[in-house]
Amino acid sequence: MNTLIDNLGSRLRLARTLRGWSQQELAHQISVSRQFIHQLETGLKYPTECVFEAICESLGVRTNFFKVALVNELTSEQCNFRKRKTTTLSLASRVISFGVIFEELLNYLNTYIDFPDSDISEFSSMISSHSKSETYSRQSIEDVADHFRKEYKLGSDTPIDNLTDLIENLGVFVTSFAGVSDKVDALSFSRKYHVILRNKAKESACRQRFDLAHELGHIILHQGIVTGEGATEAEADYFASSFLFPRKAFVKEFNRCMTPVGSFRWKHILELKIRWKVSQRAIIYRAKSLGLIDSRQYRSANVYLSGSGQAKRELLDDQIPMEEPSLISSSIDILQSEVGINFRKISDIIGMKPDYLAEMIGFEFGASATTENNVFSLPPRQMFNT
Amino acid sequence: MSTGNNLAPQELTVDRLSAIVSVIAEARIGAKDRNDPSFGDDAQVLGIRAYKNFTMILETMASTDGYEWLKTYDRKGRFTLAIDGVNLRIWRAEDPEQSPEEKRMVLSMNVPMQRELFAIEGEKVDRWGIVYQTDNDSSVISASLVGYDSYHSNVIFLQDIPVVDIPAIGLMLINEKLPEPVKFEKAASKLKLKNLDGGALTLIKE
Repeated sequence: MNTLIDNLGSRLRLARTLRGWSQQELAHQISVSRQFIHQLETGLKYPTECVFEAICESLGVRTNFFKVALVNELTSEQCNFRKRKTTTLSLASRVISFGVIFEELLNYLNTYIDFPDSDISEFSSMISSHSKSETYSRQSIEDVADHFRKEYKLGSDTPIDNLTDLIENLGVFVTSFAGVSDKVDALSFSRKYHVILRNKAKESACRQRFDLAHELGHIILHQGIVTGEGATEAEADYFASSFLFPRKAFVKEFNRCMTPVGSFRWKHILELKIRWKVSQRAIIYRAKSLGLIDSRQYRSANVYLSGSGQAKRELLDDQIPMEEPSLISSSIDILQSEVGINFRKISDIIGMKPDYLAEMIGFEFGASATTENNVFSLPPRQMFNT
Repeated sequence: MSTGNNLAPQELTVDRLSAIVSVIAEARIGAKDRNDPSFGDDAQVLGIRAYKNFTMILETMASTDGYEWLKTYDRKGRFTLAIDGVNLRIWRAEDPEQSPEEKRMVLSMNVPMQRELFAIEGEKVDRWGIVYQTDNDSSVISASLVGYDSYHSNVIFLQDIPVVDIPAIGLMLINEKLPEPVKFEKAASKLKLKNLDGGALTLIKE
């Protein structure tokens, strides 16, 4: 019970922010005062058993959730956060809390499973050591993107078919957070693991891919640098467009998208969109960045996209399938099939209700839940020998 | 009126005519993109912009490698092009058999009668043109090669030109084979179970 009491305040705050609730909202859920919740979180008071159960029930966690100490907790400074300026504090806290839980899940899975090797940190360190300042020019970002493609043998003129597969092969974990408004595009952090959290609210695969490439840009360019400011976000954006559609290929293939008098061939831009899985708006932005179109043409293109109802959802978005990560779900499947630890057990160890954890990480919980009664663990073999 | 191929000069191949029509079609799309009613643009502005657009593209094409068969002239504001020396005019009309003159002027009733007086035997194409039609959306939907007998004021040759998407200029790379997207196997295939000494066994109940 002592560990539980020791960790109660910090873990309660974590579980509450994970729900996206204020102290007032939690207090309302369990019929206590906001001040009481505040006192619990600051360790001034402890709940009765009855209140504690109500807290667990409403927050979707189990008793043992409070037994784990928060050591080296993920902080907002360690996260690369898109749209930080417009993101409310509670929303930011919620997504960061999600990152904390996701890291705990990875730690647990890693006790049984070796994840793909990642040398992306070495690449990032090499980039940092060559950079004389903390900021990057557009030219240097183009060079980094080209170098990255060369290092990982991605070709300088080839589209990336499935960016999520590539990123996971690089040893970066990708997961989605559900139930959060699209005010948060994505988040990433590089600690023991490289993790990218995407927002499930995004309806376009092109937007999702751009977000992923943006976060990859942070991981490569901004290790040890606090991000979220305009400059670092612009750098990550520029990396995303440079990496997804390298300049050499872009200059060559965009040529067909313009008439000699400078109007756009939208049909060909749509063809580029399908081939490179990059939105029309991102293609136009890239053309402007590379000086292939001027400001007037750029404005004209954006007026056309907005005027034709493509501001949020573009033509052919439905032709590009959404990408799904596989590392976590496969790890969970392996744990069940090879070790006999099913998702319900994993959730117990993390201290969360299985359906809540499944929803958070986008795991299809149904299949493993049905086999729960068929599998149980035996103690280690040597116990029988003694 | 003949619609057979035997009357058309061999220089006027379908590929060349289709290339010209694709430029016209694309110019109209570009003009439509730029049409901004809030600046006072209307159908007339769209038509003028499309005309200026395609004449300029054709002029550029004419000086580009691979289009040596094309020449353009602009005599007193009348744009004409020539395919290997065969002059062609371009106009838009609801009816392909309608000549450009018929769009613009009403002939005196005496003219056909006077022509009868000086009639010569047989009909002969002395002017060639590309006539295109547009839909309500101002997009080119069909086009025809017409042979016009100006003496008898008759269209005596009519042949459809396929409206196909042909890259107009400086776009030779389209025919170049572009690299295929790079694909990866799922990273899950790299997952390995750790060798845990004395690890838990599993037993599946029958």
